[in-house]
Amino acid sequence: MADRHGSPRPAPPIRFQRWSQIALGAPVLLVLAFIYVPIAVIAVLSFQGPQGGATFPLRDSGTLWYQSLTDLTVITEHPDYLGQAVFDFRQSIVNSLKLAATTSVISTVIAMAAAQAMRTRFRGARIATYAILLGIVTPGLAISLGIVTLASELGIRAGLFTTGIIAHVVWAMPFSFLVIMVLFNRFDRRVEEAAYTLGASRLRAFFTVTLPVMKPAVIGSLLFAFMLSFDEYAHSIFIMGSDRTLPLTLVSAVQLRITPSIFALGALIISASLLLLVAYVASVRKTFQRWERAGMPRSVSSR
Amino acid sequence: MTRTRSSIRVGSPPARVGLENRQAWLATPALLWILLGLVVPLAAIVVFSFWTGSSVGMRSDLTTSNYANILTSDTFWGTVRWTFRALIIVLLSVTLLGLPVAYFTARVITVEWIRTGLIFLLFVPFLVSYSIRMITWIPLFGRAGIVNWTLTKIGVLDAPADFFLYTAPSMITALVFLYVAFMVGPVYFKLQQLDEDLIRAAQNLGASPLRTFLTVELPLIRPGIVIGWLFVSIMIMSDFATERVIGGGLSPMLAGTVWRRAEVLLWPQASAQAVTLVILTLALAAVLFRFAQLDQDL
Repeated sequence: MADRHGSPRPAPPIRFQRWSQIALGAPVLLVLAFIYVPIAVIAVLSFQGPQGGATFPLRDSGTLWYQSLTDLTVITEHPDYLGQAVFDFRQSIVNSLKLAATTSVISTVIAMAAAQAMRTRFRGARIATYAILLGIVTPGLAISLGIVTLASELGIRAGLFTTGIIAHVVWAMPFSFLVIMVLFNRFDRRVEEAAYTLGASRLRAFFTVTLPVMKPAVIGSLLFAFMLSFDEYAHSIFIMGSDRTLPLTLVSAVQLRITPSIFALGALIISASLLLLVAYVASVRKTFQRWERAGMPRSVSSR
Repeated sequence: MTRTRSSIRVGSPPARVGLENRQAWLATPALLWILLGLVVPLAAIVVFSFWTGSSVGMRSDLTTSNYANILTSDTFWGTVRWTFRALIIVLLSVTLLGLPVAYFTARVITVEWIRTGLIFLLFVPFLVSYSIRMITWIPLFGRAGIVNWTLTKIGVLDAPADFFLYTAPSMITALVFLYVAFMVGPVYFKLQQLDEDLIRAAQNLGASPLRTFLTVELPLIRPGIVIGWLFVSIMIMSDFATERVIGGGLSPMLAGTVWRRAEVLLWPQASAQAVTLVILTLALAAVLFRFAQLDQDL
C-alpha cells in the first residue's frame, strides 16, 4: 500500500552487486561535488583579507568583506587597501528585497484564486492552466524585451514597481500556482462541502476551512515566489530602469572584477535560503504527519 | 490497490457541484496578468520586429528586412545550429548523469533518512540563487582558480590553462551541472511511483537489475525522462547569462544574440530574433508536451 502523505516508500527489493552499487554511486558523487565544491570555495574565499581577490591562497583572513556589504569604508579606509574597484550592493539588495516581497504576495494571492477556480474544472480550465504555465515556458529575455520596448513606445518609465513587478509576477506566479495545485489535489473537497452544509458562506468557508488546510502551500508559494524573484536575472534585464536589482548588479560586477564581497554576499544568500528551505520542509513534514494522525481524508485520487 | 499521486490534473472528471462552477471568475486576475505581462509584450515584439530602427529609436514603417537579414545570415544559422548542438549535448549528458543519480537514490539506497537527506542535498541548491551558483564557477575554474592552481602545484600543468573557463566545453559542463537536477527530479518521481510488484515479478522471474531496468522500469519512466528534457530544453533555450559569464560570450547561443542586439538598442532587430527564439522554444516545448502528456504525468 502506498503511503498517504508523500513520505518516500521503501525501495523494492533489488539485489545489487557491490560493483554496480559503486558504478551507480559515482555519478551521485560527481553531481554532489559539482554542486557543493563551488559553494564551499566561495564560502572560504569570502573570508579573504583586504587585499585578497578571487584566488587561492587566502591573503590574510577576516570578516572584512562581510562588513563591507553594509559599510564600504572598512575596505576603502583600510591601511592595506590598494585602490582596487569595490562594489556597493546596498541599494540593489534593498530593491531586490522590496520587489521579491511584493512579487511573492501578489503571486500567491492571484495564484490561490486561480487554483481555487481550476479545482472546479470549469470549461476552459485546461486552456487557462496552459496560459498560466506559459509564464514558465516563455524565455524571460523575450518578455523583458517586449515589456521594455512597449513601455518606451507608450512613454512609461521603466522601474521596479512599474515594468519590473509585471515581469516578475509573470515568472513567479505559475510556480506559486503549481505549488498550490499540488496541495489542492490532495485536499478532500468534502471538508469544504461540510462547511457549506453547515451554513458557512463561501468566503467564510475559505477563510476558516480552506486556508488553514492550505497553509503549507501558501507558505511554500510565498517562499518560492520570493526566492524566484530575488534571484531572477532574465526577467529583470532591460526593464528595471535605474532601479538595479541584485542579480543585475552581481552579474555586471562579476564581469568587471571579482571581489570577495561578491562571495560574502553569495555565502549569505545561500545560507539564508538553505535555512529557510530546511525550516519549510521540516514544517510541511510535521503538518502531513499531523494530518495522518488525525485521519484527514484524502483527495479525489484515493476515493 | 489505490495509487496515491500528488498529480496536477486538469479537466479530467466533470464538475460535480453546480455551485462551484461559479468560482471560475477567480482565475481572471491571474489570466489578466499573463495577458498584460506576457501576451501583450510578445505581440508587441512581433509588431516591432516589422518596424525599422537604428540605435536612436524605432520607426513604424513596415519592413520585412529584419527577418530577411536574419534568415539570410550565415552567422544566425550558425548560432541556431550551435545552440541546438549544445542543447543535444547537454540533454544527452543530463540523461546519462541524471538517470543513474535518480535510480541510485530511488533503488540502491534503502535507508529512508539517507534517501531523504540525499534528495535534499541534490535538489535544494537548485532552488537557491542561480546567478550566485553560476558565479561560483569562476574562482574554481578561472585562470587563477583552484583547479589551475592545484594542477600546476602537483605538476600536471606547467602553466595555468585557459581551457577551464570561457570555452565551449566549459560552458556546456556548466550548463549540465546547473540543470541536471531538473532531470533527476521527474525521473526519481516516476521511479517512486512505479508499482513495485512489477519489479518484484521481474526479479522473481530471474531478471538481473539491469535487465529489470531496461525492460520494465525504463519504458514506464519514459514520461519522466521527457519531462526532464522539457524542463532542461526550455531553460537552456532561455539561458543567456551562462553563455556570457562562463562561456565568455565566445560560444554565442541564440538567446545571447538577442541580448547583444537589444543591449545596443537595436530593438526591431532584437525583436525579430526574439520572435524566432520564442517560436523555436515553444515548438520544442509543444513537441515534448505531446510526448509526455504533462498534465497526466506530472
